[in-house]
Amino acid sequence: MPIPCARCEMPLNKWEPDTATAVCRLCGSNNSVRAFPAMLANAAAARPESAMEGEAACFDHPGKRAVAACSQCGRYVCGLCSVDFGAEPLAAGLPAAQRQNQPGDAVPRESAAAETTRLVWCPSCVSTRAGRAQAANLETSRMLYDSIALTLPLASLIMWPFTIIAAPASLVIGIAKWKSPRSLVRRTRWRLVAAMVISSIEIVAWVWGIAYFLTRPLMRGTGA
Amino acid sequence: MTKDPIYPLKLPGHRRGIINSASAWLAPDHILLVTSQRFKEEYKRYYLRDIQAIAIARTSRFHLSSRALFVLVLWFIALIMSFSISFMTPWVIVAAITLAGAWLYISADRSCVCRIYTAVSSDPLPSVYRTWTARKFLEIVEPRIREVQGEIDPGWIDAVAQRPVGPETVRDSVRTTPSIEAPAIFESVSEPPEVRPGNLRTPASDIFLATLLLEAVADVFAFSNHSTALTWTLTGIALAQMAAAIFVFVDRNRGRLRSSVHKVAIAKLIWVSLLFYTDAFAVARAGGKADLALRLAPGTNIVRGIDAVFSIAFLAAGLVLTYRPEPRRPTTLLGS
Repeated sequence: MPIPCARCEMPLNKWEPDTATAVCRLCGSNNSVRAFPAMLANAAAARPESAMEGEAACFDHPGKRAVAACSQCGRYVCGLCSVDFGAEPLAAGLPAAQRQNQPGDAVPRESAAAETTRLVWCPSCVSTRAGRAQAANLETSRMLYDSIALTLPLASLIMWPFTIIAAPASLVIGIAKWKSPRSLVRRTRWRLVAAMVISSIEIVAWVWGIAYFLTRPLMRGTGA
Repeated sequence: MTKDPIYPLKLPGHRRGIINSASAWLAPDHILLVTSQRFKEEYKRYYLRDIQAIAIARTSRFHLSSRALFVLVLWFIALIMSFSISFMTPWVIVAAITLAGAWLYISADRSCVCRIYTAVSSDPLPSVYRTWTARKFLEIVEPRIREVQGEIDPGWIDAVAQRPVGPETVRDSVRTTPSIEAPAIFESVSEPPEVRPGNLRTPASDIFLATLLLEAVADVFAFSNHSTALTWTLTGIALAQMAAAIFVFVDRNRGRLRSSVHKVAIAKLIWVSLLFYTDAFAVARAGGKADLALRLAPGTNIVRGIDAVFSIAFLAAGLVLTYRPEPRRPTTLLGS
């Protein structure tokens, strides 16, 4: 059977149709499979056609026929280059003033808004995350500055003399990265707040300690 | 800047390691897999309309989570307390046997691998690794996918016999009828391991390994020579080593260093941290001066011996990681 084992990715061929389970012949794992209609769907491969004389051609492939214009920059794109991203209402891209009906309109603009248009981006707009094409090029990673800021003052406590560097560094990161994007799934800034509080305490402790050791001889002198 | 999407539902399962963790979140149209390396998160999105299948295979998973480690620390504290409170000792032993037995049973018999298939990927979901978590995960995700894709034909097991599932590499192995030679066929079509960019050695990694050698030699000399100059030499070597370790991390992060010497650097820094306190404790017990505790050089012969052995072990590990044979890149006919 063409569904691979979840453990070793070898084909599963001993099926129990009633329970949709199969035992892998190689690793012996009992696989429970949930299949969905996408498995049976046929995906057509993109095959750009050659452009005839006088036809609009792709910006990046001048010999290929253009099938759409980029919704961001307007460049013509062939079937291979077009990044299809669903549809949107026809008037969604227009400013609000243009969406209202004008006296000379042949077709009421409110009804035009009900129609939809394809959203197509060209590869360069996707790669540069230009305008609305950003939606087609989603983030794949993020640096967690809040975790760095919190770890610095805490981890440096293991070898406490290093807190003299780590605490100010954490405070600077906390302030500089206050508005930078955090994790996609963590919504609060509690780590940054905690980092700034802990590093401030450590800085105060260092200032107090240094001041104490500097002033101690003077106090002794005054006492004598 | 566009506003981040909101992920209202965290799906069952969360793999919590010491450094790495993984979780899955459900959005209206996709599942977001988040893998975290403490300071960096990586995201993968599986759109509900694209998911072909979810397979769960029962297998053993001996994962020691951060929660299990926390329990271990608590047990260790109880063990130390039992030295002075005698009636605690049998309870501590019973707790150890129970906890270890439960962990072994769950790891061996109640664990699984969950894999999600689309047309272009066949990725494991690291957050789903216990059978009860997998069951809860499917209870939430399966109806949502069916809502988007509809119901599958009941005779899908026969229908998919003629169709490839998953990405090309998996499909190629699947097209071959399983036989005795199946593992060899599978190996021939599997992708070679990814080769990182960068060099095997950098000046920072060389200096780091050199300081390990110097430290081991200085430790050996320090057995017979307790001069202040040698102690401060050891401290200087330790400081240079820490600076080199930091540059090793930078090189690795920037892609200049390909080998895994940074793992040795992490282990060494952990040992230096332990040495800092072990040294203070050992010097205090030996009735030494308090200022010695602030130095990074070993204060007693026992600690010195342990430090020398560790330095040699770290050096050997570093050399192996630098010079071990690498997986070969696939080559073209032109040999590029």
